[in-house]
Amino acid sequence: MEINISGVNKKYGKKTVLNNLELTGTSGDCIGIIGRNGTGKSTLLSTLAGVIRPDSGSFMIDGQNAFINDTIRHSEVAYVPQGTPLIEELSALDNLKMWYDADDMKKSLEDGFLHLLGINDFLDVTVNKMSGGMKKRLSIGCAINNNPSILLLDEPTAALDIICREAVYDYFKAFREKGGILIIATHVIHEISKCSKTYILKDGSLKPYIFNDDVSGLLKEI
Amino acid sequence: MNTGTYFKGQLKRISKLFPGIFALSVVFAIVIGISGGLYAKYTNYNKVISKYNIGIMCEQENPLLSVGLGLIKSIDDSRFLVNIYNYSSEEEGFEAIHNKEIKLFIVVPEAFLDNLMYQLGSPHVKLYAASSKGITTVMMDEVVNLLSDDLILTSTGLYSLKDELGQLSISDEEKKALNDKLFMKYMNSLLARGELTKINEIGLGDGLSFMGFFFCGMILFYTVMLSFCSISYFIGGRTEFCMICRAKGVSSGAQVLCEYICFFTSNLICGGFTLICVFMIFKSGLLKIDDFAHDLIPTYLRFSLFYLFVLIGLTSFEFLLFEVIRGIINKFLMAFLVLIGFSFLSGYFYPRSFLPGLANAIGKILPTGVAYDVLSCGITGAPNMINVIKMLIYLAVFLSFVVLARRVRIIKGLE
Repeated sequence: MEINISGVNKKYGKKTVLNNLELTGTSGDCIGIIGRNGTGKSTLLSTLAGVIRPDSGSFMIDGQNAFINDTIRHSEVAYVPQGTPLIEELSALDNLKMWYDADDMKKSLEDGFLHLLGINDFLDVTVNKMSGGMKKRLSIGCAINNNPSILLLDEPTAALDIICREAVYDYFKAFREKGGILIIATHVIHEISKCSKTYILKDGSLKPYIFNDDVSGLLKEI
Repeated sequence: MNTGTYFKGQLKRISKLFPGIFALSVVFAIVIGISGGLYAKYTNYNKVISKYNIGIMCEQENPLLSVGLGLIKSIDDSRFLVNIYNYSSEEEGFEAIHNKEIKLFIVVPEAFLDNLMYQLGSPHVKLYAASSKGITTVMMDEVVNLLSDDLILTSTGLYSLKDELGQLSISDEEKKALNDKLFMKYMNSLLARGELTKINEIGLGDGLSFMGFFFCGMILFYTVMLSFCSISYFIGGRTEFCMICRAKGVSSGAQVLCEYICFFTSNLICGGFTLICVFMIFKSGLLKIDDFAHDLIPTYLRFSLFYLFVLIGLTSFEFLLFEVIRGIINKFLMAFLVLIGFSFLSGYFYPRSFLPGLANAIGKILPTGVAYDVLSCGITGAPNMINVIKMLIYLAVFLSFVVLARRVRIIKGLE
C-alpha cells in the first residue's frame, strides 16, 4: 500500500493553516508529525480523516483520491482524535457494539487487536469511570473496527502511564507488521524515535526531518 | 457506523440517563404544581387586577334588574371584563371602595325607573369611583353603557310597554301571555349580547379564565424547565465523538436529527406523564378550571394535541440553546436566564398584554410566546393553525441552526 498526499491547502478565514502539504508513505511506515501547539497538526489529521474538507489537494491511497472517494476513506482510514471520542454514559462493550459487527467484535476480543489492546479487562466499565489509559485504548479499539490500513492518531499517549503506553506501542508494532501505515501527531520524543519518518509542521508546511536523538537540534527546528 | 447505528447509540445513551431525567421532571412538576397552585389560591390577582370589580345597589326585588344582572354575570361576554357585586346600602358600597374590593360603585335609586317612565324628573344613576388610576374613563363609559343602556333603559322600555298593556281592554290571560313574551324578548336581547360582542384580549390571554391562564402558563413553564432535566444529555456529548462519526460518514445534519428525536422522545414521555397526572387530578375534582369544566375529555384531548406541537417547537429551541452555549456552568446559567426571560415576555407568569408595547410585541413573536398562543387556543378551541405553522417553522429554523452550530463545533474543536 502507498499513500501520497500532495498540494493540500486549508484556510480558516484569512489564516492559512495547511499550505501545499506533501507527504508520502508505504506499508509499515510510522510517520511522526511534530510541531508547536497550534501549528495545524490536528487540522492535518482531521483533514485526512474527512472531518473537514481541504480547500484543495489530494490524498491518494493506492491511486484513489480519498478526498473524493468517501468509500475508500471510510474503509481504509481510521482516526483517533486527541480527546475521548466515546459515549461517556455507555460501557466499553456498548461503545464497541456501535462500531463492530457482533462476530467481528467477538473474534477481535478473543485474539485480535482488541485483545492486544487489553480491552477485555474493562468491557463492563462505563466510560466515565475509566482511567485515561482505558479510554485511549478503547478509542483506538473503536476506530479500527473496519481493519483500516491507515491509522491517524493525535497525541495517542499523552497523559498515559507507562503500562498503558507500552500496551499502545505493542499495538502500533503489530499494526505496522500487518502492513498498516501510522500517522502520529506527537510531542513525545520517545515516540518520534520509533517513527520511520518524521516531519516538522511549521508555517503550514511539512518539512522532512531526520531525528537522531538530538533534542536540542529538534527544538531549534520547530 | 451509519446513521442508524448512531441513532441506536444515542437512544441507548438517553435510555441510560432517562431514570434520572424522569425523576427530576417529576420533582419539577410537583414543585411547579404546588407553588403555582398555592399562588393561584391565595393571590387576589384575578379579583383586583385582571377584572374590574364593580358594585351596584339597586332594587333587588325588581325581576328585570336582577335577571339582567344575573345574565351579565353568567352569560354575557362582559363577564370577562367585570365582576359585579350587589350591595344593599350605600354605606356597604363605600366601605367596599375604601377596602379596595371594588373600583366603581353604581347606585340605581329605587324611584329611578318609575320616575323615568312617568317623566317625573330624573333622579340620576349615581357613580362613585375609587380613583382615577384604577379605572380609565373609557372603561367607566363602557360600564355605564352596559348598565344604563342595556339594562336599565331596556327595563324602562319594558315597563312602559307593560304599562301600556295594562291600559288595553284585553283579558288578563292575554296580558300575561304578552308579558311573558316581552320578558323573553328582554332575555333574548341580553343573551344576544354574547354573540355580538367580540372579546379579543382582556389581559388573560385570549379569553381564558384566570385559572385557565395560570394553568397554561404553568404547563409551559414546566415544559421550558423540562429541558434542564435532560441537561446531562448535552453535557455528556463529546465533540470528538461527533468528529469521528462525521469522518465515518454520519453528517452533522444526521447527528442532529438523531439527537433531536431522542431528546424529544424523552421530553414527550415526561410531558405526557405529567399531562396524564393532571388529567387524573381534573377527573378527581381536586382541580377545577372553568375552561375545562364543559366537556373535559374533548377539551383536554385538544389541549394535549396542541401541547405536542408546543413540545416539538420548544424542544428544538432548547436543543439550539444547549448546542450553542459552551461550558457546563454557562449551559445552566445562560440557558436558565434566557428561558426565564423568554417565559416572562411570553406571558407565562403575568399576562403578556399588561407588558409595555414593545415587550408585548417581542413576547408575541418569541417561540415561547407562539407556544403560549398555541396552547391557549388549544384550551379555548379558537382557530389555531397559523400558530401551529409558526411553531413548525421555528422547528425547521432552530434545527438548521443546530446543524450549523454542530459544524462550527466540530471545526472549532480542531482549531
